[in-house]
Amino acid sequence: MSEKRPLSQELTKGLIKENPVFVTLLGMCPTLAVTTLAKNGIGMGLATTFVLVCSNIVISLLKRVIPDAVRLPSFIVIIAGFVTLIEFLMKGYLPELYSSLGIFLSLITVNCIILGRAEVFASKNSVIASALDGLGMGLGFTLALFLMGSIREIVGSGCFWGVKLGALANSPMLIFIMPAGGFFTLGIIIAVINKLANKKPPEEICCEGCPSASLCSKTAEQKAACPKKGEGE
Amino acid sequence: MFKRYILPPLVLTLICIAVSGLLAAAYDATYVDETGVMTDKLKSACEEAAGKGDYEILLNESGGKKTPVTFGNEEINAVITDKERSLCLIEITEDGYSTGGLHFVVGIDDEGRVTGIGFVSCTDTPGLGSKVTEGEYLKKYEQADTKESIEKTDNVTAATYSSKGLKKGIAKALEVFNDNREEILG
Repeated sequence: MSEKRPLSQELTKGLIKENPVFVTLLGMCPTLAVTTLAKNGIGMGLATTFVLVCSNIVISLLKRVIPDAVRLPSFIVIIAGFVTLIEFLMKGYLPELYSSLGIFLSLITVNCIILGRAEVFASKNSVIASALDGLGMGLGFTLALFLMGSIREIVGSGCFWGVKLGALANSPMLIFIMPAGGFFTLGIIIAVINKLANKKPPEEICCEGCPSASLCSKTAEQKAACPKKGEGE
Repeated sequence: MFKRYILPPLVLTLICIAVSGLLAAAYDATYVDETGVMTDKLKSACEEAAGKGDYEILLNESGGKKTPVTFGNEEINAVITDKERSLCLIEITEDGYSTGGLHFVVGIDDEGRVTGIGFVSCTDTPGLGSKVTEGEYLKKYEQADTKESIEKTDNVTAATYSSKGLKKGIAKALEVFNDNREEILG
């Protein structure tokens, strides 16, 4: 069983503290690929939230019925079912967004956030806690994609939500809407978040298990003083 | 024995059956057959390409089933006519930077000249490939009547794939119109 937390925390943890994109770096494919527009970010985020909430609820309900031997295939079938459902709905009611998201909509099935939450959380917790966890993680993912999409759309296209933004629209920095711009924007946002959260890298990297240890310029004394695995912090 | 060898595949099969059943019901509830239907978007693309008119999609009828006339071309979605003004509009989906990224209508008059182009949708890169949908650029193709005159038009800078896709689509529309003029305009 995972550590018990108040239900409100299950909902809010995914927004910032355990944000799936900026903190745990999951779901990178859609994050980098579809965030050329803020609208696409919101669309992909909400579609993923729907699948996360529904699959978490169903998996939590069936957790005692599904045998361990077929746990993962069962999770994938349930997740794929909800992804197909959201595809039908989007194709019918939001065809333009459906075309913009393209293959990445189907690829929600293999999004590590969804399978990760099913395996780590929903299969071990109550239905309400799982639904709130899915909602929180989904909203965190949507927030991250919206932020990425907004920055890339404003700087890269000089528009926001299709509205041209004065001088920016005349000379946009096109690299921001290219694939490289996705990595660049993501790196900047993560750096800002780490700075605000005052996160620091470990002071000393452990020598044990390092493939370059024999070539390392450290002296024997320095290597001996290096903390062993599991020590420190 | 039962728990180890029979129960797991049985549970997985039941889950698959339940999910498939739900999806079949959802498909029936959400599917809308738009074959031969003049949707709002298609109509507005036609009006962009050739102004307001009485547009009608040409349909083949075989075995009680209606399918749009495409003259055997995969890229062509439908052939639309305005009989009063002797106009033909060809709806095409072409590859731009993304596969099937350019979905547009080419208006052609009875003399085989392009009257205009209207976009139904474009999923190429916003700010780059999407520039081929801008009216100012599309005007350059008006009055084009041969493949050569289409090829002469400049590509949009940094949107070569989208420009080439658009040119290929316009040339295809002209070719189909010229080969089937009688059948289209009656």
